[in-house]
Amino acid sequence: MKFSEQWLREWVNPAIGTQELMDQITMAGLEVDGFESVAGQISGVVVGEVLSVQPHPDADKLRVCQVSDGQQTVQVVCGAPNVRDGLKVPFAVIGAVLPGNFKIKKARLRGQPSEGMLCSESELGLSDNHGGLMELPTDAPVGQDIAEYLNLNDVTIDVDLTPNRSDCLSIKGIAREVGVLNSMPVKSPDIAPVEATHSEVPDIRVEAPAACPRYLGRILRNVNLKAESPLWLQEKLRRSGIRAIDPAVDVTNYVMLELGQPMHAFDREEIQGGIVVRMAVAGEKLVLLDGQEVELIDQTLIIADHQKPIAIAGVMGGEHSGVSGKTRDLVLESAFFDPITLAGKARHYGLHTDASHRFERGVDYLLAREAMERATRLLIEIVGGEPGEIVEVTSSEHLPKSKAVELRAQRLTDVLGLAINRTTVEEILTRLGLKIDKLLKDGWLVAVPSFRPDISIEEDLIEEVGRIYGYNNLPVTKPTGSLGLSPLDEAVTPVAAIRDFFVNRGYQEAITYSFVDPKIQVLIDPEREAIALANPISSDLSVMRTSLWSGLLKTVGYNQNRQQPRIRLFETGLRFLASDGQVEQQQMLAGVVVGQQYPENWANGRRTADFFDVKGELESLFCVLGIDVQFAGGRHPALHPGQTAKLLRDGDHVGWLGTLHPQVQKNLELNGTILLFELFLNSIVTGYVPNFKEISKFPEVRRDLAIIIGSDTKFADVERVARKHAGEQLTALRAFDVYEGQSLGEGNRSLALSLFWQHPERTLNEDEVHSLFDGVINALKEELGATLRS
Amino acid sequence: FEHCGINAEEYRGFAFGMGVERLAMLRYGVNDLRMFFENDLRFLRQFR
Repeated sequence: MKFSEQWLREWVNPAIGTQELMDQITMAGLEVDGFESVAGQISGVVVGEVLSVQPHPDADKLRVCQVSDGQQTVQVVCGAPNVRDGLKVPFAVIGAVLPGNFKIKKARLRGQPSEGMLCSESELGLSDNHGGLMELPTDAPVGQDIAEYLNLNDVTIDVDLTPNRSDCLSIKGIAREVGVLNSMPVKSPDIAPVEATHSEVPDIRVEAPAACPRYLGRILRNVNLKAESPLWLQEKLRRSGIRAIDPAVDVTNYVMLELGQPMHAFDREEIQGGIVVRMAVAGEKLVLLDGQEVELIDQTLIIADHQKPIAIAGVMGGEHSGVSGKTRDLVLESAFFDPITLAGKARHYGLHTDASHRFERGVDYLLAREAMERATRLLIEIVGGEPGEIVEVTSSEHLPKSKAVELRAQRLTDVLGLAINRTTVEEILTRLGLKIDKLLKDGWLVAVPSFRPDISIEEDLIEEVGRIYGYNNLPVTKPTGSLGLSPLDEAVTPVAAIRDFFVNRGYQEAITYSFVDPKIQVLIDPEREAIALANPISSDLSVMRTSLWSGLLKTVGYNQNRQQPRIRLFETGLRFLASDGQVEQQQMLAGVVVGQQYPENWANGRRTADFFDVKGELESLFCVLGIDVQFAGGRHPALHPGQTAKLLRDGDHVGWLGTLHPQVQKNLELNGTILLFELFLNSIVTGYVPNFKEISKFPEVRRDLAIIIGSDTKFADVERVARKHAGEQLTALRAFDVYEGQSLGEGNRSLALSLFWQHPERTLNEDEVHSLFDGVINALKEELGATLRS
Repeated sequence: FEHCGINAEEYRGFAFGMGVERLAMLRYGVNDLRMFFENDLRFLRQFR
């Protein structure tokens, strides 16, 4: 909300400068968003008087004028349509500087000397009005500096109010705050009731009392709408961001800004029968003041006459019943509308007005009459007119109930973290208008005034005390707590260590969205129905992911499109499964690799990363985690059938590793050999705690063998058979060579293995080793059909 | 707290609506919030 600093200072004027004032109200919760001068930089402009006007000899549209600046009379050439004898006008003398650093110099216009310039509002930076000279009141003192005369040394302050502070949507409210903050009294204008001069009253019927608990109306007869709002009124409106239009609208806007009560004026002649405050009937139509025709819906509160709607209550009036140049009698409206009834209604019609803004947040329900009297008096001063009595239709049981809230002293201390002495608390509350109804043994019973609908619980009062005392004045302490030692399971590897592991291997961590494109989701996990969002941000972020691969693959595409051929990413995050109408969230660890295994360099060649590179990295990971994981053959719809491993730990499925299925790759328009893995994080983070095994003092024996087996025989089986027959003292078994070639025959390959034995208590003798070694060879021959390679 | 079934007499707290990414933007001089969600390697690589 914008307001003029000078206007505020008419109510309360603390001895602090503009910046300090703005800082003060910001810290009290009324955040100053910005401020600007009400006029541009001006110097050398005075109140001038046009003494005579002659036509310009060489230009039809120009006039030659004699203008007085209070000390001398000079000739000025002027082209404005409204220049005339006796006009008081802002006069920029030679040497004056106007906004935009526009300097006034001696000039000749079509041959005639011109010493100075007569100004329009726009030339002074006051408004966009450049249609004519700015006309000053006839009693303006000639020669006075214009900045002084118009009080241009003012600033428009813009406060960004939180929605709960409806009371600050007026000068009255802000002045109240400033008064409290500076411990000063506030001077409000005298608003005495206006005596009626006739007995005509508007016919008012309220059919929706819950929506409109209070409605005041008054007739002002025989007004002269040709009158113009006085400059001071126009300026106050302008400096608060509101354009002056005509006295009726100007006065109602003025009262709204000043007191916080939106009002409306109707043309009495256009009201058929009388005023009815009711809910609209769906389908009724109304042409609004802005020319827009709306079709009303039935939850809309309207002001109607006996035939049709004439205004949307608390939002905007209708065009037909509005005040115009031909209006003779006004009907003034000042009312309290229920915020809940009005909430969201303006927006439904695409409207947001100063009135709806205030009514939706809560207007002071005791303000209507005072505002009506104020508006009446101001109008009479400007447009004349005969005021009638005020008619009030109030439904007390529908007005907001007055509340009292208890504030406990101990709780105040606990929440603010500071014990404020009772007298200070009482002063703060009282200055804010929060009257102390009763002093309690351990606190206060506070009456909430009508202008603070936002206060309803104890914490609201604590906030008031805290913000006025000053949040900056609350002591700074460090939080303390008792220090306990929480047990750390040594067997569990923290996720941070897993992240570090991948970073150290040249992966970057990615974070992708939990909701994904259903088209990608179905490619990754076609057999499971993903949970769909009820209100997705967009259609390509509309289902919950059942795998982290959707996001990772999308990221691969993104990076490949930006000339990144080598991509190594990992992610930890949740996946979401539907189970019995509930959502199950599982923490996953996933990664994707594509491109060369090593960044291009002279030593490692240009080898593309393959299945075994990633398998090796995962094996390293399992080593760090201290767990045993087997890679068994498997099938996954998103992975290449021949290059898929199902990861098992003690028979439980803990993850997948494989190459992206070529068809899926094609659909996703990705390049290269793309490797993917995904693990259930919770299934792999718990490893083992070492349990020391004695180390042998005796030597170790190594035997190597090479066997030829079918290419489809799994190494896991070779290992299983070998270990079964190698005896307890086998300490290691390794495959150190794999060979497939023509000389071995079709469908065969050769495996070279080394076996290591060591006994804890003695040196193994040659015969023992030999017999175990033979046992292994024979078992491999018999159980797997292997042959020794010569 | 009441709406979440937490006893406000027993617990108090602080609430902040603070974008973690925005703090990172301030600290590291990143000028576009969207970069945190695009996972562009040229961006990620700057934060090892």
